[in-house]
Amino acid sequence: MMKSMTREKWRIVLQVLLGLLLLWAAVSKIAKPIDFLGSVYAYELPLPRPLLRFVAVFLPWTELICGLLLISGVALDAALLLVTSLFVMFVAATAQAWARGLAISCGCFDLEIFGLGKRFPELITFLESVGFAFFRNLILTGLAFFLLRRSLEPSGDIPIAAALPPGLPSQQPKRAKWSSGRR
Amino acid sequence: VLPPNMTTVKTTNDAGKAERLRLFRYEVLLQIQVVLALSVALGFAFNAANPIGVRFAPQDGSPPAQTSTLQAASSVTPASNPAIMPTASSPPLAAVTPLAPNPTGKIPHISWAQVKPLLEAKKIILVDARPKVNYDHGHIPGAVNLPYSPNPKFSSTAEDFAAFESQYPKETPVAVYCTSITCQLSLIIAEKLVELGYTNVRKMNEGYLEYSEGLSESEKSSYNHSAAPQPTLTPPQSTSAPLAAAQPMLRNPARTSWSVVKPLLQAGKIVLVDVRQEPTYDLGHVPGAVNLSYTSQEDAFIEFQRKYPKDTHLVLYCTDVGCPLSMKMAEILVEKYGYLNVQHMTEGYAEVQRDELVAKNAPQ
Repeated sequence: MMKSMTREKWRIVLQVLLGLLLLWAAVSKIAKPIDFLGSVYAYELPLPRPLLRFVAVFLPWTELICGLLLISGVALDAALLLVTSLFVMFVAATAQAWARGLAISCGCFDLEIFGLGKRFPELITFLESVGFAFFRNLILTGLAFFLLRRSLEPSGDIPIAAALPPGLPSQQPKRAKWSSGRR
Repeated sequence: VLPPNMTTVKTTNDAGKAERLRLFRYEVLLQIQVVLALSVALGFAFNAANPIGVRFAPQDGSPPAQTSTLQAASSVTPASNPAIMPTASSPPLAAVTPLAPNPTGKIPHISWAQVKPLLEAKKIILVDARPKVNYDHGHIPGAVNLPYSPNPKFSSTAEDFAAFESQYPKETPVAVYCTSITCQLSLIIAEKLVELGYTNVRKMNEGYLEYSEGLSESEKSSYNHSAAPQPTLTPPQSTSAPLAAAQPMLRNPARTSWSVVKPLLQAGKIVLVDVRQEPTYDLGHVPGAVNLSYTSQEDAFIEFQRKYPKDTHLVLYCTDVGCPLSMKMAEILVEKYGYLNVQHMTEGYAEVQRDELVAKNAPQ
């Protein structure tokens, strides 16, 4: 019982941290739309530029809304699904840029806001590099996926567990819950 | 008794699960759609209201004349206008055919060679669209000054146009000119006149340059300063031309001049940016200048930003003092793209050409 409580606390802490990170990313992009569009172009994705403009206009706002939802805990499943798919896209984009050796900044976060840029320019260059961004995005994708599974499981008798074929061990605790509820 | 019971419970249980799963999926999908729709709506609403937002339409804040000027200049060749009688040699005044009206609303080109006899026969009204300073400094004799400037202080007011309208009926043939082929002001004024209902408006694409180049030195001095302009609306003032002097970099963007810029350019300390359109740039530009046209799409700006960091010292130039684009562009580069050190050469390419000319003539 205690163990599940601490796990729950950790889940909430991670969820809020992820939400704050998304808010930071979103605000950096919304504040400098042209810079963000420039970084999107810099990835040299084989996509038409009008589409990239469209994405550059709404994507930061998706991040913003998802961040708010994660912090507030509203519509968590939808937010986490979106965030996970966003990060999967980011991983793919940074991976291809890194693999092709594009010397671009990832355009993920505005690191200038802490005034670090003047004092540690090399650090900023490293943090902004796509190689670092790739690994960071991998970790964040893992985190988002973990939270997604956590969020889906506790009320497991409804979504994912029910989707599993019968007889899997994950159905066991749920059945116990049901029986206790009928008693 | 029990086993059948269990089975029925189990089946209803499964059906309930399937139903709830369906509902869950529906709910989450709906939420995802709402989040996406909301972000698209907010994103576009914010972007539309944001002065430094992403531009989707070709041009938002640029003067309407920009692209059409080039088309007008390139598509209308002097020979392609049958309405105007070719007047290479000056015919007797009485024989000068008046211009046929152009009801299409388009503004055809007319050359100085065509205007000259008409002007002498008083069958055309010449309008000088350059700022008053330039007009006072020298204009085609008989031309009326109707200046256009992005700064309303120097632009013709509604009263100026009303005075023009009261003096000249709508079917009067009008030819508008400004400095040279790259100057945008004459089209703006010509379009304004068409808008006011003038049915016979033409544009001297080559502008004042075409006229002044055809003058001998003695003619120039007599025309420019002694000949009194006949139908001017605004009496010429005797104030000295407030030409822009080079200022220290207290402001961003700031003004500058070629004498300041030249050594810096040779030392490689600045990036010189030509804001005229690409065909004009290709015709001739300051060596080492890069082209970033005022009519550039956002992509060109983004490419530019990737090449030149925000602290690059940029110096912008346009055609001459009558061209407001270098100033506007400097403002855009500072306000929208965050460049920290932008200057514009107020007198533009004309100043550079003058300098080259002086240098060429100096040894003799």
